[in-house]
Amino acid sequence: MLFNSLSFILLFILVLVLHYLPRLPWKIKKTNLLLASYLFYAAWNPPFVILLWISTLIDFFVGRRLYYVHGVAMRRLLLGLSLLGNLGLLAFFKYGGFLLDNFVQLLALGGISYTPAKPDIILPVGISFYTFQTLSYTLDIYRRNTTPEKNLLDFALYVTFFPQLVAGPIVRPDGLLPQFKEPKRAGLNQFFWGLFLLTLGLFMKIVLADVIMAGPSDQVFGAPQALNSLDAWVGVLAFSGQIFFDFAGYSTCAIGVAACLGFYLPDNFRYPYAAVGFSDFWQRWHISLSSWLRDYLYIPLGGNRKGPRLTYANLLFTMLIGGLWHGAAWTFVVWGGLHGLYLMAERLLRGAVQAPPWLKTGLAQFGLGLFTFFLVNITWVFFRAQDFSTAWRLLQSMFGFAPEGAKILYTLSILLVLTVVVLMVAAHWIMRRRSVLGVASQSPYWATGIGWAGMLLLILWAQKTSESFIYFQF
Amino acid sequence: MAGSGIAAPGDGRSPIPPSKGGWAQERRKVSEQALPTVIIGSSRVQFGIDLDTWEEVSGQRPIQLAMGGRSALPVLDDLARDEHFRGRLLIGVTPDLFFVRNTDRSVLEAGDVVAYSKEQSPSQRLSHWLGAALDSRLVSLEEDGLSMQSFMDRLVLPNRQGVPEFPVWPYQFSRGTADRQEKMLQAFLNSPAYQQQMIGVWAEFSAWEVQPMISGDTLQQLLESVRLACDRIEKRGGEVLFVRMPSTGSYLQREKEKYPREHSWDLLLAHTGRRGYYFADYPSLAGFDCPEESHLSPEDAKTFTRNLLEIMRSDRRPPLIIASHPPTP
Repeated sequence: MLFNSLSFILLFILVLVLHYLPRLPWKIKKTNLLLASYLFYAAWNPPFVILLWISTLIDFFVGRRLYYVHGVAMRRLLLGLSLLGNLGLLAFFKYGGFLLDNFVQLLALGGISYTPAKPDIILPVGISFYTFQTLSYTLDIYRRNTTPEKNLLDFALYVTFFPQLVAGPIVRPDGLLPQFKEPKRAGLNQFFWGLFLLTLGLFMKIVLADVIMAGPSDQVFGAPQALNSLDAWVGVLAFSGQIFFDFAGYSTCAIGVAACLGFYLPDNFRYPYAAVGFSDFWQRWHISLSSWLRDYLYIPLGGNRKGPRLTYANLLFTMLIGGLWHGAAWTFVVWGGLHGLYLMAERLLRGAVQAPPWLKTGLAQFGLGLFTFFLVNITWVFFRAQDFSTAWRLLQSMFGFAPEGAKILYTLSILLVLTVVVLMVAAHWIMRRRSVLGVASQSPYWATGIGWAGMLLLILWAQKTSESFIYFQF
Repeated sequence: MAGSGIAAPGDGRSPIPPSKGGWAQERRKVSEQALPTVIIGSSRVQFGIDLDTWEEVSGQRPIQLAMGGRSALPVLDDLARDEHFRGRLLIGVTPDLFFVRNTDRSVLEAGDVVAYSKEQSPSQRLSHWLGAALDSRLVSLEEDGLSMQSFMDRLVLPNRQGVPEFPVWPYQFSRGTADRQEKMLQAFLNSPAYQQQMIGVWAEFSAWEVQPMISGDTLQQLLESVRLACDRIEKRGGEVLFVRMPSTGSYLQREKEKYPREHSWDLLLAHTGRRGYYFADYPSLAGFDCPEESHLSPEDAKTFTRNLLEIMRSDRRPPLIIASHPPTP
């Protein structure tokens, strides 16, 4: 079920009514939330709810046993069982076809021709998100960072809580499970700002991502020929805007929906296009994933504690896995690899060169921020391109190696994309150290009201038929 | 729905790209009825076959599964594979959307709509149902005419030299009903300027199609696939008919030149062995004036539908006419 669909509006109204009914026990309200969450997920493909149940039951029972068992071998066995269950499902549904393709190509390199039946596997929506969320529970218990949840209802709700089920934020057990212990209801203020965030998220998704950015981006990435440099750059910038507005829009909706129910979800984006450098970027972009990779992969690998060479290797490996998490294709691996290389280069520079004082001035920081944005755009080419030949053709076009490249974008598209991108980057810089709720709550009520009404009117005017959020496919 | 993103060449060539949800809803009706009459093809049968008139004359309301700007072939294939379908099938043949390669945009996009109907999630179904229910009870913006996308599509700024430009559609051309009947708007019928604009759009599309009509093996494969699909349906007790809807003026002339009847329509009937109704062969089906050379006006659609049903009845193939109401003169 999409947030920008009529079916979600109906479900959300029903959930709110049930959640705020007086005199209903908290346990019943939690059961309502759980049933609504299953309904929310089943609305895509009902049988896939079984995956949620499998994930829930494995981790609930393994987690309890894991905490109380002391033998190392038994603990490892239980952890292995959980990893096998969760990652096994992920590997089958998400990476099955990819692994098979690569296996066939590997055989072909050895001169063996093998043509297997093409697997017809449908990717369950959001499987990467809830798999990582449940994994964090088991891994935290294994490290004894948290205690096992005793209540199956609360744990099931932790795995399935609909606002963040299919596209995050990925919430750690300590961030969500304690919230289910006490009755939750939003105060008027929290409810009000929850609706504001829901509107803002829908505005980002429907108006900015779908109506303004998606068209030029699709045109440029779908073009079969080399393009004029301007068209190629505008298409890539359009995608950088589209992916931000789409994904950050979803996260903003999720936080808003949860807030309306009285729950708190952490920020997933903090104005990433105002990042100066890549370690800063990953503290601003998809924060719940980058912190997950840091805590459950990079640090356990040794992080920066085992010397420079291993630090660099760990960085690169973590980002390669981060790339693969996004999709079963080598283009995503290259996207992650590029980010890994950027992080390595940044670390190398920081260690080797003492930054001169002028580099800390506002203007220099802004210049570095723009350079970071430029490099991020290069990575988006691999993220969005269907294959390497498209990515390569587009990069050649962007950097002037296709002087006869085709002009395909309308003047209107170019103006709209460039205007929105400039405003987006400017807004990220202005908001760099602030929060949207902080700014909105300090603004005069009429200014907030006009902005809110403007977003609502534009959403209604956009009337865009529902398009899936890009990140659902991950 | 409006085209995705800002209009550009290749976005589609129909004034009424099909709403996937709406098509899927009508497709489900095929399985709900014992012996349905189904219409497939492109926009010409959506405009030119008047569902109300058909129902009034025959006693049975047909299910409209034609898609504007799309090929009929993926839908024919879908119905042929559907063992439940044993009804009557009327296939509208628009030459430039029928005699095409199976890799043509019109075929692929029709295939997407068919695939969507198979994969439509419960949520999408519910959203479509809610949207339709609200649309019929509330005042809402018309997506084709007044949405932000439509507004942007009509904003004409000078483009750089060499940028292929998508023709601008007349603002008020047609509106569709929930069961996919398309009707030209009165504003369009009253405006020669709009009509000329639309004629220009068709001419521009034709100019883009530089490839000649398919021939040789490609044509044979297409005809054979149609024949096999028809055989499959008729083996189950169904019936398949073809109809060539009227076109006029320069559009008809271009069709005659690029898709000569003897190399397209006649071959289709000969190869499949099915009946077909070519408008020019029947005085009561010929002589209509398409306002923009390609589709019938709502009033003409009523007359055309009555006359077509009368001809079918006089062919003494009673299964097509369920009731015995005499056609209104």
